[in-house]
Amino acid sequence: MIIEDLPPCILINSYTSPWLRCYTDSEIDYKSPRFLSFGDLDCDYQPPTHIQETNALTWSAGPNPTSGVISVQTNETVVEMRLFNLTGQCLLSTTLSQEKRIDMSTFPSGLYWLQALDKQRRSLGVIKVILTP
Amino acid sequence: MKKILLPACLLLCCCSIFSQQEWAPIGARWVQNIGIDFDSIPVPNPLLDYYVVECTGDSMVNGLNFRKVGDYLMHQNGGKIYYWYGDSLNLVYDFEVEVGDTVNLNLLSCLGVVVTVPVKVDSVGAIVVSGQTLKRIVTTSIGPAPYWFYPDGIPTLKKLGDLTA
Repeated sequence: MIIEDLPPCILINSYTSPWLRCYTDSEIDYKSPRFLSFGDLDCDYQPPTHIQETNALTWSAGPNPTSGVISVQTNETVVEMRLFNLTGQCLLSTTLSQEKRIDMSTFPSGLYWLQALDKQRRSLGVIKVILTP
Repeated sequence: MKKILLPACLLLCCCSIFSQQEWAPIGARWVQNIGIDFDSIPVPNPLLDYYVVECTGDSMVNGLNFRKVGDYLMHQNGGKIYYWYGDSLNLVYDFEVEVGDTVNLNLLSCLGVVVTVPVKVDSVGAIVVSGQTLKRIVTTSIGPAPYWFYPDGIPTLKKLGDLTA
């Protein structure tokens, strides 16, 4: 399978890769180092502000997949864009210029999250972006 | 059926290093993290949600013994772990590998098609958890694209460990 063959379902599937919080059986009680790095939380922890986003996005970006530069179509409410890898690490934070283009060409190919923020730095939603070689 | 994305750049799995241990004893329970809360400002919260996968019992298909793990039937043959899909066994974990080996895993794409994903074994080591010494295998995907899917309901680890650490 090559990247161009990837179906659109990859864009709407689960938020990100799953990773282990805890494992238990009759002999083992285990929390992963990654989960412990957030503190001594219960395995079924959920953030208190957990909100399911239901509103339609007021912006879009394309082409997607892209080979490097992606253009953002939006109204003036979007003032900042942030790019994340699938682990949630922020790779890029930029104020939208008049061109409203984001250059991803310096990053390795793969899947990314693109987030828009308004001037109060509130999230206006995220989309998954495929960066091709 | 939900599919789970695996950016198979780093696979880390563990199993018993000294004995041919069951991969999934009945009652085994994995809690898998899923999702990132991007509305958490200024830093996204990577603990948005979770799901639970449990080993609930035994089954038999075509004369082979299986364990029910989540929505799937899992078969163990030595250190090789398979899931039943498309009327065939598909290798999802291999704990018999040595450093330098290449192993072809059979994972699901989001179209429900089994995709062969070659991974190279970078290291084989051990860790101690709850008094048990467990094998730790680190692999790197050498496939043409880093987009693979694990079948929903199959934990992303053998017994302990984190595939995406």
